Amino acid sequence: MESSPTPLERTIDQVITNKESELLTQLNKSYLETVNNIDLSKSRIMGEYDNIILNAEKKGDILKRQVIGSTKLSVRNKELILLEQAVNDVYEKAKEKLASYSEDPNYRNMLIKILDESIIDLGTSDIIIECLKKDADFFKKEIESLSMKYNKKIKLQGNLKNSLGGVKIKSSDGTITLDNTLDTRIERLKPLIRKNIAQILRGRGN
Amino acid sequence: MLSDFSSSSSVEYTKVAEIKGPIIVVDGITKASFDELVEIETSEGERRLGRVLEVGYGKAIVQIFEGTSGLAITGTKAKFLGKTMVMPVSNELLGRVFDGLGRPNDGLPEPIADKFLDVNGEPMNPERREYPTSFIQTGVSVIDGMLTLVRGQKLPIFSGSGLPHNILAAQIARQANVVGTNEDFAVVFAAIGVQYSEAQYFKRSLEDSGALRRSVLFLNLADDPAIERIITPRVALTVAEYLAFDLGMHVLAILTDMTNYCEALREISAAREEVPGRKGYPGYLYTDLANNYERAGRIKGRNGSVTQVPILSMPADDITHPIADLTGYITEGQIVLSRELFRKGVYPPVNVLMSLSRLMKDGVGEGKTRGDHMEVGNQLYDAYSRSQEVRALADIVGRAGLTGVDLKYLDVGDKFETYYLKQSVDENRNLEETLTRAWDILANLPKGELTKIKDKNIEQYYKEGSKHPTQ
Repeated sequence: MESSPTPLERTIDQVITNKESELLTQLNKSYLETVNNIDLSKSRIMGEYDNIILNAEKKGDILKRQVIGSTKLSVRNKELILLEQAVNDVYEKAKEKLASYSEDPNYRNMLIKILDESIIDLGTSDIIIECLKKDADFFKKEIESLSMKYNKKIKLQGNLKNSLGGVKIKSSDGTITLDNTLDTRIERLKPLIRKNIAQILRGRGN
Repeated sequence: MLSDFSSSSSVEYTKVAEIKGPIIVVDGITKASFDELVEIETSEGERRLGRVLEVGYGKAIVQIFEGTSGLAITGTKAKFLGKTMVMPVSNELLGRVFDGLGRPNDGLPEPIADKFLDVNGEPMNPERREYPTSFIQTGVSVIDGMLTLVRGQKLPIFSGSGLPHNILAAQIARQANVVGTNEDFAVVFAAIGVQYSEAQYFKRSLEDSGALRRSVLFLNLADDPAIERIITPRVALTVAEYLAFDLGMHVLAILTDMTNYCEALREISAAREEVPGRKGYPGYLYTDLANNYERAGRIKGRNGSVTQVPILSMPADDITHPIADLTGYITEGQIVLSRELFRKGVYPPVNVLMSLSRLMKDGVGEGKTRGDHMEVGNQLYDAYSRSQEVRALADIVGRAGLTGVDLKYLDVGDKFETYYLKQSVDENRNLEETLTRAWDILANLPKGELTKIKDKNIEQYYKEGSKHPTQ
């Protein structure tokens, strides 16, 4: 014969049942929370993953552009340096050839033209002409007619050195100088000559 | 061109009558012309460049770009070169770095020129001008979305000392692009009186992003002679015009910092004892600035365009300062940077409420960007403006005293700054992303508050409910 539970036992049973149900509810809740967290984490991970891939693609793209850009630029810059060297070589060779220009029959005509230009540009009443020693005789013959033409007092100095030719004229007090030597004229033309040489070297010249 | 060079003989004078600040007076002049280029040779054989400012009575006033320090009255020679200052131009300029006077600064030879262009440019015939209507994407949300830059526009950035205008300028230079076309795009960057570190930053930033290949840089450093700064924007704009109107490229010319340019003008003006105008700047400051700014634009029948973004730092953040004031008269809007936003850590710290792109309406919309672009920009402007009012009110009555709608605007204001305005220095957002972000912000407001947007656009893009966008 079984004895009925005592009030204490009933109370204990009741507490145990309550606790059990509470624990089950909590476990159930925790389980649902965990499942939910896993789902959220999954979507977050996928988001992060997409972000990482996107950023990597962006960085890869930047790197690609950087590498291509700098390589193309570096190749172009090397080409510019080589071209400059070639242009300078051609330019120096041309200058060497010009050294014999003073023997050319057109040289004297050019000297007169240059002198005409220079006298007008200088604009002073008294003028000193500096020229190559070998051109001095030629100018001596011309001075009188030039003095008459421009109504200016002209003095000749055949002491121009290290020059391809042409003239340098000065005011009598030496404060104004006009350099019209071939060297200076070529130097002034250099940017245009460089362009023409570069075009020929690149195969685009006439 | 050949005859131009051969006929221009150069006369050398040795009579220097006076040296005064950045200018020298040469006496006994028989032949000189206004703006003529002058080569100065010191007694030690050092050569400097200058230009004629005034000529008459046998004297010429010459402004020396590299400054007059070390020059003496005796022994100094001034050679008048018989030509104005020209810049050699060709497509080989792209990828090159020059100093403030247009001389190579990258260890490479002088560019082989297609043409030699006068740095003062030729005025654009107003009749031949074409109204700017095409969008340039900068990748910066606040500019693309609300202060859109249009090809051929001149849109200055008004900044203050210490604000990140140069970082923003470099970001625009790296990211700017014309969308949806295969037309060539180039950037001409003129740094006027910037620090060495800033100049290096510009250069490295363009190199690292691969954008140097389509850029031309002119760098006048803070320790370079101030007078050189007068020439820097001119050579830069000459190159920009060549790339745009001869080669058909869309060119973005960024000039930073125009305040340094104006300081150089003031220095020259003071040395010439001209009657000073406001704050000592010359009376012709407006005309001089206009001569530079008006070189932006498009020409009918030609493909290219010159778009200008001049940057100026306002002394003491004073927007009424003559430089900012006169610039505002000439240009087509302004982007104003805010010290308050900068202190809050917002980059780019653009104060949208004080900023405006006058040509935006002509460069956005259906067929150009997106149908809702203008409306969304206006609505954001309106919402941010309202949020600022609510912020001020909350400071007085507290958040508890605000209505539900007010609280939403307060929230929109914060989100606008952190989610839309704020972006990182290397973040390049396309227009689609910019507009999506704008709609994300507007989703925080009730539909009824969107009064600037057409219903069809609301139906298409508005997703009701509070968004919690994060950076």
